Amino acid sequence: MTTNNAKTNGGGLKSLYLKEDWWAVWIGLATVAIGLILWQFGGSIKAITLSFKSFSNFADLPGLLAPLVPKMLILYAVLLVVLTIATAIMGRSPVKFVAGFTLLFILAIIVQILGQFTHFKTFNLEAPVLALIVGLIIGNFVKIPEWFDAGMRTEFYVKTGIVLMGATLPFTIILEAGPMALLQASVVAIATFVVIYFAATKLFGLEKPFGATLGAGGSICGVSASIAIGSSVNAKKEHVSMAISMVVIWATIMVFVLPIVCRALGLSDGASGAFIGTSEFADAAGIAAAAQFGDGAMTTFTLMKVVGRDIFVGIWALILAIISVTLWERKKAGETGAQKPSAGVIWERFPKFVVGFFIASIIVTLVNLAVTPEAVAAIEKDVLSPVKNLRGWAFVLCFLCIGMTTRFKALAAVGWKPFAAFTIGVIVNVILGFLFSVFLFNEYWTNVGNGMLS
Amino acid sequence: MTTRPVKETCVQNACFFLPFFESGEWRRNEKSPWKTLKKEASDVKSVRALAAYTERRISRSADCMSFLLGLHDAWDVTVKKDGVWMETETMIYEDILPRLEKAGFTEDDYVLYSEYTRKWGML
Repeated sequence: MTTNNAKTNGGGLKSLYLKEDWWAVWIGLATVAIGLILWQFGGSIKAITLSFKSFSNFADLPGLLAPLVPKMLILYAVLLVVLTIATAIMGRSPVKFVAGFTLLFILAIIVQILGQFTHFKTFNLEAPVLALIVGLIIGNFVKIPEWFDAGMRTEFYVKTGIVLMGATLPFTIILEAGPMALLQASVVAIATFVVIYFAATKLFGLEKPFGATLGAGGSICGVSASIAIGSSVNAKKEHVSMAISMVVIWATIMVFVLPIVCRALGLSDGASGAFIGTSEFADAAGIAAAAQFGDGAMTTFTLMKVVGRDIFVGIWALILAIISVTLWERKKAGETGAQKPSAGVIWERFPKFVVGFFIASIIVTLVNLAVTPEAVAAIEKDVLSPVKNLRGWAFVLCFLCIGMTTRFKALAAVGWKPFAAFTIGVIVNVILGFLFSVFLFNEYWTNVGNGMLS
Repeated sequence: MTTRPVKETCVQNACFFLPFFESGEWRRNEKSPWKTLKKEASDVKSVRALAAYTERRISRSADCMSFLLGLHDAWDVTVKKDGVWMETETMIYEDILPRLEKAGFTEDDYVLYSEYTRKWGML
């Protein structure tokens, strides 16, 4: 078989309003811009945010919730209008989305309230991880109606949340700690990819495109990477299916295991975030794990995952596409030449929401640099704090979706060879992530997490 | 035609490009007659040769298009100035390629692209 892995179908200008990635960018940046404009004129975007207070007795709930009903309706209305418009423009049924999103939002409200229950908090069962658990239980034990699927836009919610996260992460930190994150993430990702690839192809005799697809899923960015690399090297459908299944199984396990390890070892928030960012290969699952710690963990996680790993998926796709057409396929077909994939694949595979993440970070950083220290404090209170609140809602919606769409019975059957190859990689990934985050750079990541860099 | 009965976590978009003007020369490190014509001294003979080549090429693409349409009934077909694009998400390329080969179509007759998307919206 000879194939051409050089197709570039980024969709041109149409992708700016047809792709979820770009909608996440527009919604995230618009939120930040509106927040800053409102602040400039003495208002605040916090009018659309919603938080619940802690409680230890369910009998207190009616009294706590009654005053918040108008805010619940406002947040619901704003999210519904914005997301439905985006969904309709992207060509999906707005009616189905409204129905699905409404139910999802009700579940998110319930999870956010339960996350404030003091007894749950004792066991670190706060809203993000609770959303994942509730989602997994519903998804695997309750028959979910088809119309509900329309509201479960996992990627849309997590990408929007990541763009909003950019606003809360100063660009100066990205510039300062980014290179270190890049170094650590690259060493671990390359080592993990090589281990999985060679275990799959040399040790277990699997096909090279399959090995590359497995390796990408376990080392770069989970399902997104498996899909990008699977497409670039023209892997077989059943192989991509298996790679995705492996990612889902291990990512779900790691959401619970990594935070337990971090707490058991008493790691700082910064080191925990760096460890999770290095060793949890799926973005959304990693956020669910890092969100169990403080803001410092989210900062180092984001640096490691988004800055250190996600932005390189396009480069990985190009390199592997070149290897595929120049080595694997040529060898197989006995040919003397093959068409080279174009560099356009880098941009095609680039996760566009990362652009929004960087722009949001740059905008807020520049504004902060241009105003007085008092104004910086006001921006923190009236703009960034509400943005963090909205980010939290985006992630809770995302984690509910992850749980409800992760139906273990529907995972593709995986043979023992791919499972073994992937598992070896997961072990290497966790060990290297731990060594770098805890032994080599513990102090560094702890300082980054505490905002005490340089 | 049905896809394989396996539990799937992704959707494959199998896309076949049937070229009007080239016949896999790039795979053999050869130059397309369209490219050599521009560089070499052009005369009537070489233009007629190009016309014959192009007729064969387009006719071959039409044959391949006809075969693929007979093989499966859910193609999204787009004809562009440089060739025909045929895409499907309901039949995987692993099932299509052996049939193409058996029908006598070679790698010179098409370019295959496969693109995957999530079947679920997770992770």
